[in-house]
Amino acid sequence: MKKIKCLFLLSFLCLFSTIYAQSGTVTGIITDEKGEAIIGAAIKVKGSPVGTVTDVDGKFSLKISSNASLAISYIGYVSQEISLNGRTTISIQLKEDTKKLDEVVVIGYGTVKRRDLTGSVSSVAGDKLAANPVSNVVQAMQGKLSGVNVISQDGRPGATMSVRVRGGGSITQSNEPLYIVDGVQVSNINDIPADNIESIDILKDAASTAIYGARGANGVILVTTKSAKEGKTTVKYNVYSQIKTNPKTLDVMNAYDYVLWNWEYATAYGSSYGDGVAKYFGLGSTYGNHLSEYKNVKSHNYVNDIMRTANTWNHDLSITGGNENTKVYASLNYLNDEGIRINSGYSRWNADLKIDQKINKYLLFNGEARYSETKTTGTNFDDATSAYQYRPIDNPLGDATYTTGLGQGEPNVSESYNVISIINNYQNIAKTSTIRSRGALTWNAIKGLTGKTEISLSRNWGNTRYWDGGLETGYKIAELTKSDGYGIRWASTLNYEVPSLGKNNNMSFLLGNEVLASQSNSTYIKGAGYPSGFTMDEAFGMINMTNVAYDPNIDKFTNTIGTPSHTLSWFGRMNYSYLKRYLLTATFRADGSSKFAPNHHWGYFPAGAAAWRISDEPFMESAKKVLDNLKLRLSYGTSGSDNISSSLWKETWTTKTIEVDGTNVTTYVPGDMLSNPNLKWETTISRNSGLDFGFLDNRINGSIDAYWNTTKNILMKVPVDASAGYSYQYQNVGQTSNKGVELAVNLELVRSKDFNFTFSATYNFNHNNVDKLNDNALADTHTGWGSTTRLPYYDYIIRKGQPVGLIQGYKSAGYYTVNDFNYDASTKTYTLKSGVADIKGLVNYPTNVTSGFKLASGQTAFPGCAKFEDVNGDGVVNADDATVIGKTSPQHTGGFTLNANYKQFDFSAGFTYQIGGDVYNANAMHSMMGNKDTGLGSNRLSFIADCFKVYDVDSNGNLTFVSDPTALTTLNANSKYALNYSEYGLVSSQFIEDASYLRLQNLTVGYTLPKQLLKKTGIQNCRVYFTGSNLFCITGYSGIDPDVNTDTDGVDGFPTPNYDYNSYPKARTFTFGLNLTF
Amino acid sequence: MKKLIYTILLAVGMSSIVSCSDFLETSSPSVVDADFVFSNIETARAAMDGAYEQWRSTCQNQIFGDGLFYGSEVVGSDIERHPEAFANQPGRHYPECLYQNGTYASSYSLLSYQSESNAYTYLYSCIGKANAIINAMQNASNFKSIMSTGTASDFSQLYGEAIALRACSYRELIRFYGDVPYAYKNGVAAKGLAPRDSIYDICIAQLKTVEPLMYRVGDNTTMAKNVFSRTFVQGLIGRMCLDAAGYQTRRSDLGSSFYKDGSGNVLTFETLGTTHNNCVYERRSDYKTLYETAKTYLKACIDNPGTVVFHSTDPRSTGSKGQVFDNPYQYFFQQMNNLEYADESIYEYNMTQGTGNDARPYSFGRVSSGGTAKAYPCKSYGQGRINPAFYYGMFDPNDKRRDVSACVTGSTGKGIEKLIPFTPNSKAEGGGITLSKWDENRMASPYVLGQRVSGIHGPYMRMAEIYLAYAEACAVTGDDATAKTYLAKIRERSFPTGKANTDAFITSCGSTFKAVIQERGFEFAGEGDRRWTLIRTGLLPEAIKKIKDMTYNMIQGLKNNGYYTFSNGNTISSYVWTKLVDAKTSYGYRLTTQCPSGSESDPVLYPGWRGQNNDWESFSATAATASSPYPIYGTATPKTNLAIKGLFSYINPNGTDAATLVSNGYAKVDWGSLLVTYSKEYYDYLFYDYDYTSAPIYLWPFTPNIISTGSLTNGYDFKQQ
Repeated sequence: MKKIKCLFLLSFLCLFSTIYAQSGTVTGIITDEKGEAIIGAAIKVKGSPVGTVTDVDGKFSLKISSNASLAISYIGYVSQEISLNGRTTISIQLKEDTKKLDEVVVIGYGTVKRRDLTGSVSSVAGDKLAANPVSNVVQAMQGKLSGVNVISQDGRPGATMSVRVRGGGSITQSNEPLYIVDGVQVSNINDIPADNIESIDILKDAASTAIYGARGANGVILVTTKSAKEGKTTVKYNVYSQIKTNPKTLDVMNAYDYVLWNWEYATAYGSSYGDGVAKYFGLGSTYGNHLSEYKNVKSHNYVNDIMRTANTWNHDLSITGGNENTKVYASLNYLNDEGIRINSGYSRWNADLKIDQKINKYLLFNGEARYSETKTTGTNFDDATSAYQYRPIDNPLGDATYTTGLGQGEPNVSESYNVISIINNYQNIAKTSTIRSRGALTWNAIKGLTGKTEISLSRNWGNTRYWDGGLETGYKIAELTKSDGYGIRWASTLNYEVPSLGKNNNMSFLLGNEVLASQSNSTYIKGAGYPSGFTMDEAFGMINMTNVAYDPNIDKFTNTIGTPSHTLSWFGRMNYSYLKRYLLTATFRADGSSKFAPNHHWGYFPAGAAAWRISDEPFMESAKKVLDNLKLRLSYGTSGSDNISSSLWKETWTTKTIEVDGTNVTTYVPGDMLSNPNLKWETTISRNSGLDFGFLDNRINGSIDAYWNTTKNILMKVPVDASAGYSYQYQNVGQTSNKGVELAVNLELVRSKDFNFTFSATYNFNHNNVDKLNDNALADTHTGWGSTTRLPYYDYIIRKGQPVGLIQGYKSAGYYTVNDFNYDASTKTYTLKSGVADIKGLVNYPTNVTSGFKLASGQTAFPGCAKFEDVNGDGVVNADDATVIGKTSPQHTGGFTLNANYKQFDFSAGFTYQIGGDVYNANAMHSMMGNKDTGLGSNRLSFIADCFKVYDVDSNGNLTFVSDPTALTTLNANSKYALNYSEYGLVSSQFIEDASYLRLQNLTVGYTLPKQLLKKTGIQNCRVYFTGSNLFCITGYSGIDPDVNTDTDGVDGFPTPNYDYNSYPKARTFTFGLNLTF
Repeated sequence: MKKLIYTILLAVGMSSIVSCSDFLETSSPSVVDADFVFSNIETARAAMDGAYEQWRSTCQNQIFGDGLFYGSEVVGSDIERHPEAFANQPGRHYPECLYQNGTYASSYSLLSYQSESNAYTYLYSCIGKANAIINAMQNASNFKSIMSTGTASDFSQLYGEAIALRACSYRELIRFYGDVPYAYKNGVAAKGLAPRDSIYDICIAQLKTVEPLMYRVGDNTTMAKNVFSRTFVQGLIGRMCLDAAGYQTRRSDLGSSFYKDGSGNVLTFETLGTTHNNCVYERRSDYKTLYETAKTYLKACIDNPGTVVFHSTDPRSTGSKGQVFDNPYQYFFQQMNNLEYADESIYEYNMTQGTGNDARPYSFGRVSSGGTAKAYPCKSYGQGRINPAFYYGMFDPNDKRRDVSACVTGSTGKGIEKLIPFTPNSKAEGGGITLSKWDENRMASPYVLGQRVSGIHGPYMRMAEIYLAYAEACAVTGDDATAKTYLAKIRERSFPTGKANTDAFITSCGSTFKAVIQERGFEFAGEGDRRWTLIRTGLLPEAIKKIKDMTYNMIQGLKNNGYYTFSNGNTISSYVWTKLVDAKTSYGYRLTTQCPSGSESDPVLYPGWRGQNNDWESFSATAATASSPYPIYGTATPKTNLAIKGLFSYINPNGTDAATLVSNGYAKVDWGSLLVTYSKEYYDYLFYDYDYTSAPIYLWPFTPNIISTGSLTNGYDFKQQ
């Protein structure tokens, strides 16, 4: 919008020259449709530099000729032109701009009115994002934009928010969209406060992304930040304070169940362990028979100790003003966001200064300097949820000093492993600072021709301090990582509106050239063995004050100079319209990238789009009463993804410091992977058809799009013949596709003076598919829970004909019941009935269990043993029966928002939802894993109390093994899960759960103080509000939150979506805020 | 105006057009290419150090520590075994037991153990790094002149190390996988299997070329024992010749002319036993030629070993508290426990205390039930266990190597000695007699902060092997006299004077050759040498038969009589009597040494080389508190050592002797009775179903990735996918 205004202004200046006469004073009042005064509306005298803005009463006064014409404009309202015709007082009512068709959409290297848009672009205004008070603006985007899905890692401070535009085509490479802030590429927008954002536009189809060529394949997020506005100086101050609480913790076993389960398991694992546990807890006739007393013991859940109610403060101050020659905007923002886990938090400073200076009637200069600084604190985030495992009984009723009786499980109960001390022992403070500056010169050479050249320079610095206070290692360790980098962008464009093509034809061209260069370097220093009194700060201040007695070579240093990344590009775009109804856009970009071998430097990305404004057709005239807008869009094009390491195509050697028999030795090692000089970029072909609509005075408006994106030359790590000396190589081996439909709709249900009520919703359907995959491509990866004893080892796989993100595991059939066996009462032998498959190699129950039952020769299964489906039907359940047990990619996602205002009150509620998709509940699977004696003493999730039992407590209070079928059946009348003593961690379909949810993302109630009340204070506007966020989430998921992605980067370069293991809970927040305008 | 526009346009893009090609080619001084690395000897040496690091990691994690070595080599012989129940680790227990006489090979899932592909790719990564160095050096302009000088230089030494690394890697590949691809250029795949015999021949020939151009151990300051020296290469030639000359299970599905020598001639073979699973157990008909080569180089190694010392007497004097050492064999391990390069070592791959993942003593040392951190000592799992029939029935009671190699007690992890029951389990909780050569109790500076990071090096080659390999080569080529000389050198240092009885030993074994092989069992007991030695010498079937028979008789005796007496006079009984005693007060030390002659009836000092660290208190990571008296002992003179009665002689549990022991504070403890309880584990699953004639399936399968990327097939009846 601001650009349009500039254009208006410039054209006025160029085209008019006015001679003044009959000067006098004109006064007026500007109001809205409700009769409320509009403060700050701009009044311009046409053909002169004179202008003013309205005051708090909506009034203005100007010394001008009484026959002048005035142009009156205000954001969100339809501008008006008034000829005074001799009047000296006027009263003007501005109408709200409901058409939205003249809304300006930012596209690559330019803007276009939504009316003329041919591509698929979703937009959201900055104030809509600011309405959801979160530190990362990306989180606020969730559910607000069609075709855009935001997946959060979890609730930790600085959590990764992954944005997927239409699913994402790549498998191993980044699917993050390209972020462009005011024309400049950035790696993310986490450091931009929502208050600074004017609008976000998301380019979704190739017709709009192709102009970004090799960077556009994953969609482009264009952020336009607020900038200088002409007129009265306005100061805005927004502040909020937030209270954050932990909404949900995992249900864990109570004291009695915990003690009994551990006693039984320990006894099964080995009689000496059973005795150790009994002695520690005081169980059985030997140790005091205290078992039943645990029913009255309150268990201690350390999650409650390490989670807290936290506070967040956010302050935003901005000032803008200026005249038609010089306009200035400055803002300052500070956020301090405490984490809901102790020893975690996030804070951020932002400062921005923008200047627009008109040099002469041909030249305009825009300059900006933006500084941001972030600080993220905390480490060991896993403990936020896994702390329940630690020492649930404060005062064991046996020999509390006998923790050694729990074998490797000792740390689960030993006070020296207190989770609180462990959390506080480590510090990880990561600071980043970024300065971006930008200068642009716009030259309006001749009518229709605009040249613009823009240079932006950025510098960034990182400083990460990792501190280990020595609790576990016995000595203190300081690790300092410093990084710095730069980015340079020089872009030049030439716009030409072809004149004199007649009334019916419009044509314009854009030609451009862009040069990008960036590099990052890092330095790492590690020291250890600081004097006992040293604090973290002292250690970092004197990092060489180390003690070699601990390890003469533990001190380390490295320095790495990054390989610069250079890109050279040429691009062009042609827009043509006929009768303003038939629109055509063609774009082309040629990109050269330094990341590829010389023979593959260049990539070419063409795209074309057409649109038909059906509602403007003469034959639609009759429908005009109800139909405001109907536009059909079609597009086809390609874009690429060059976001890969630059060292994949050539053989490289780097240094690596190792310790050889206590001495540091610096070695040269070749890269991990076999180089591939034939590497090409992944290219996405995008096809889109869309329909924009608006009915009933635009009370119903929206758009629907259908797309089919195909990404070819998918880069994957492919195993190569190991005899080459390397195991893997990156190759272009596959093709994926995303097909989908997305819908965005706004309904103005009530539009009146005092009461307005709107409903807006987005809906996305996306189907991801791996179309082609070379047979040799390694498509399997694994998570980390359960370590090497997890079965199957590869629990995430990629298969042709299926979406990315398949979970591989075993289909649970519960457990073997007594009825699965023929029982020979004379020999007490259990023999599997014919047709019931035995299990081999998947379970390894302790000998005391397997030898407790008499089993037919060679048989593994016994009553209570975990049971899985014999998927391949070979009569035995073994490793070969691993199959797809979950598909993580959700098919339906979106959100909806209700907005209302009644008089001075405003109200909004934002919901997000996901239907379908599976979540991988590794916490539950881990609870089901025996894990040898390492698992002893740790508390487990509450459902473990419902596992099959093979021990009973006899009349003397001692455990007895139960193998008799009748007794077993009685003992297990209420059992729901298999006996969980097997060492292996089994990926079982039982704990692959539906990830569907509906979340009330935020609920806001605001009150704007009446203007009359503020009149004398100099305050133009004052609003107070309350927002509750994450108030509820309706889901069938038994874990903490189905919107989770623990390993954001996946493993070995492959994604492991929806994996939930020890994730950090998302806070429930309550925000109190104030918006002030002076 | 147009002109102006064009000028602007040109100005906008000009600079980038002009320098376009340069602009898109970027580089960093932190990332270099091979030409840079091999442009001078210092950076080339750094590349070799990088290759050593890959080799070190490969050894530790795949082929001489954890990985396949842990899975089969350390546990799969007549004298060594695993600790846990057979069914608990099917992934490694089936390979260990020769896949149930091969019948399980076709059922064995190719990733059952999940380490099958790692050893393969790690070894080829070593080969790749060696190839990079070899290829670069061969291309150097001065290569020919340096190689023709006939004397060692830094350049030729470096080249020789790379050749040795490649040879070592192929040697281990063949041992675990049989025939494998032969790659000799970095980054270039070999495509298809090469006959193992040709690989042996090529590697041996290359080693012979570089051997005279290398330095011996200690020739200069850089020739430490973690570097491949001329001494090592001589030993390696001997080792590879013995391998190449030995019996191996070869595939019969690769065509009759597949097996060729290094010159491409089709080989003929001598067969042993029966064809099985599409394979044959056989050796090259020209095996004696290889033994002759071995003789030459092993003798050269013995005659001029550099600074390597074979100790025939113990250099240690009596300890300050009167501890008797007098065991030169133990001195080797003591030096390793002290984190020194042992005098007898020719090559050790180095570990660093506190970092990495050390298999000794965690997997192959004396067991401890300690925790993962802050324990005394920390957890020692104990994958390497000693077969009870070997411990009781085969070791000569006078052989001082027995108590150095094996121990019936481990540690609780709290500085207390603990009898290890025969119950299948790990640590000191069960699993039976532990390997004891490496023991954190015995370290000069034990690491108590964490498990598996003791810092003890891997003993990859030492002089005893050279002596015994030379003796073997002499015996096979008809020089029994020399063979006996070197056999005697090995025996005599480990027996009291006059008790080595080498002649009688040879007679009892049936031949000098068999005696030499049997001697390796005693010398390297628990070190994972035995399985391969039996395979390559063809003595595997009879050794298995012998141990199974001994085990059967032992279990029957225990079952029927409550004890069993072996022919060497040792008796194993169902029960032993133990009590904890305060050794520091009684003896002045807790860590026992060689049992002094005449003290064999002392229940604390015999068997020797056990007990606990003398001074755990001083290594305590944290101070004791009231609620946590550990790790510092709760009282000033705790009972830390285990007195054991009835370990080698029968005490009637119902007799007066037993009653006296109980009245003296001893407790009756299950011992041999558990072997009866777990007879399936100790007898049935010991080389499960082996028929003593079928070609032994001792190999590991290629995994699906290896098969598909290398266009290979699995032999030995393994699955193809």
